[in-house]
Amino acid sequence: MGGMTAPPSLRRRPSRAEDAARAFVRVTAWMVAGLMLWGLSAGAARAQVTGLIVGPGAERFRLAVSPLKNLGSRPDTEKISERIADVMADDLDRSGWFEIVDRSAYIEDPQKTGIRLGGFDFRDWTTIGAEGLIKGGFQTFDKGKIRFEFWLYDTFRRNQVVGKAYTGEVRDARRMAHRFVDEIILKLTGTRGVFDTRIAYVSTGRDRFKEIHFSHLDGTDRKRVTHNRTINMFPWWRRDGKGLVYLSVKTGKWQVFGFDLLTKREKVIARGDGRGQWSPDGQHLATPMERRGNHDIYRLNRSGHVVERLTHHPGIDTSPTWSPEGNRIAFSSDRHGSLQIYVLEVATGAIRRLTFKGSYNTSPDWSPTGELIAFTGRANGVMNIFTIRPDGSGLRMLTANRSNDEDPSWAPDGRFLAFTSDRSGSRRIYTMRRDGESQRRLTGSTAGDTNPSWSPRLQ
Amino acid sequence: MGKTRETEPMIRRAFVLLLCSITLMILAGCAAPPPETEEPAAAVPGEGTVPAEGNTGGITEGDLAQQGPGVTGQGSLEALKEGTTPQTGVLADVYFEFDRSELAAEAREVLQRNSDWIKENPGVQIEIEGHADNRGTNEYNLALGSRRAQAVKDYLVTLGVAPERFSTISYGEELPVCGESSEECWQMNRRAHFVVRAQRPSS
Repeated sequence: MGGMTAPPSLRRRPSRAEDAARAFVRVTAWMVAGLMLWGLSAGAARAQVTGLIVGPGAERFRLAVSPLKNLGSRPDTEKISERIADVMADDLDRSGWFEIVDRSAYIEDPQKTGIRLGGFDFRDWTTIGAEGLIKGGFQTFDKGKIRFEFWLYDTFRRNQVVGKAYTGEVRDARRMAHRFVDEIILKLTGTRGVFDTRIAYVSTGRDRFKEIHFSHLDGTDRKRVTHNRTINMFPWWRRDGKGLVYLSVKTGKWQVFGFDLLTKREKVIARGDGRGQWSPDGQHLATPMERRGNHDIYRLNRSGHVVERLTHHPGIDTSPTWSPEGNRIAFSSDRHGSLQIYVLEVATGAIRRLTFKGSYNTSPDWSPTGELIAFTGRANGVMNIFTIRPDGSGLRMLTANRSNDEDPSWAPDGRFLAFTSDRSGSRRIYTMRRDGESQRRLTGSTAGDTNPSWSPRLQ
Repeated sequence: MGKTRETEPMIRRAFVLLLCSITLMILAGCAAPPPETEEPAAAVPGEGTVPAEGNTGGITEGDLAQQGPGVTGQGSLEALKEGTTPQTGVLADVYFEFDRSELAAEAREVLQRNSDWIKENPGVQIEIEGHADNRGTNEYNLALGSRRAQAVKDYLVTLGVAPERFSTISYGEELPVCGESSEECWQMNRRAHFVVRAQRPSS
């Protein structure tokens, strides 16, 4: 996968000819594996496959998500049947690749039909325009255990595309649904989805304290990391997803802290004055540090000692972000007057300017897949999210909402971004595809949420 | 424009406090401006305590004890913890243009007065806080606040104050004194704020 187009999925018609041509070549390998499985060429006349592209304006794939069948004898007092179907429908909708057929149109009674082939009638689903169908069942056991069985069917070819069983605690039921959606996206696009992940961010309470939290993409399972009633900022996930770094003034001066999710311990790593990021191999932390009013980028080792000062300039150098290979660091600097993004070769210290358009380009994040750098840039008097290739080509503005959209953070698949926006009045966290489509809000109830960091995939 | 309107009353206020505190240093006591007690609420029928119109008998006055922050100022982080707006003490705040850290003539005048007080009171440490308005990213504004605090410190040093007497910290855009999205508000937030601390114990 590369370039600017979104990943492939199944479409009836090409959206944009030039994109289609490039994407077609790229996805040929996937087609062999994926298209055969999905096989939309069979069935009704409307299922003619003439192209396969997901992009701006493309038609989305129509999917029905049936409420789950209760396979056990215990009553479904917690409404798992509908709630878990909702979780999957929300995820699929958020991806922007699917259009979910409204549940009020469903014909069959999910509690009276089967969930495996032969146990239900595909015509009940093709009649309402569903091209794909998710069915599933669950059974609850003693001690809060639950077992799920999920299937994705091709309603026109009338076959199964993917089936998975999950067993675990009822409190993890939503995660099992997220994992099945990730599996569906893997099957249809060749790359696993990112719904079983978390987003960390800063929440400002009504008391104006800023504390670090994280939650799932749908805003559920919100957990609080800091409780120090001061200001905590710039959370960033460790590459193993089991910890975070952030900046805090809890001691009266700014310091970078590390928090380990397993031990639930917080420790001071070093003095710091901005967003720190661990290198891909986890051995080094790049962070801005202030000396005599001036911010430069430093490279620290795991115990917080300065290994190297990476920039030496009276301008403000800030927001370091590592390339996936760990050999380059993008950062923002106002060294030549306006605020721009630069790329530094770690081995040689050579610095190259990346952005030339606009006068306020900052907070870069290098995609985990390497092909793009996202950043915040001012345009038309407000902040917007942009992407650019590491060679400086392909500048693209993803947001244009006349609101302030800031602080992009890549999802681990390099296809989605989280960011902050004040479009609803107060600042909130949103997600979008890297083509700018499907911008959705994470639910939030505090005075404001900022500085998102999208976690790696959870194990 | 908005800037002048907003800053002048503060300068006046700071000046009053300055005079006040110089007196304070001598007399070890400084009367706050005599407060007026609030007018009684609308009279309740039947109570018969409504003062006649023009009657001044309803006003009492008394001296208030000198409050510490009136001289020292209050740190913005301490104010956050107490849920209050940080008080400015004897050392007046200075204000900046958008995205700039240079000191305008007005700011230099304030700093001249601040430096006089600092020199007259050699036993104290001064913390300089740098702040920014909320336009731009949190991280850049944190750096901008550092730059502003440093610019203030550097200027005070050129006025003859020893650099060891200062510490600086930036709070970026995180601790605004004004929460609206207007130029008047942004102007109030683009500031350097001073806190007078006790002499650090030598160790």
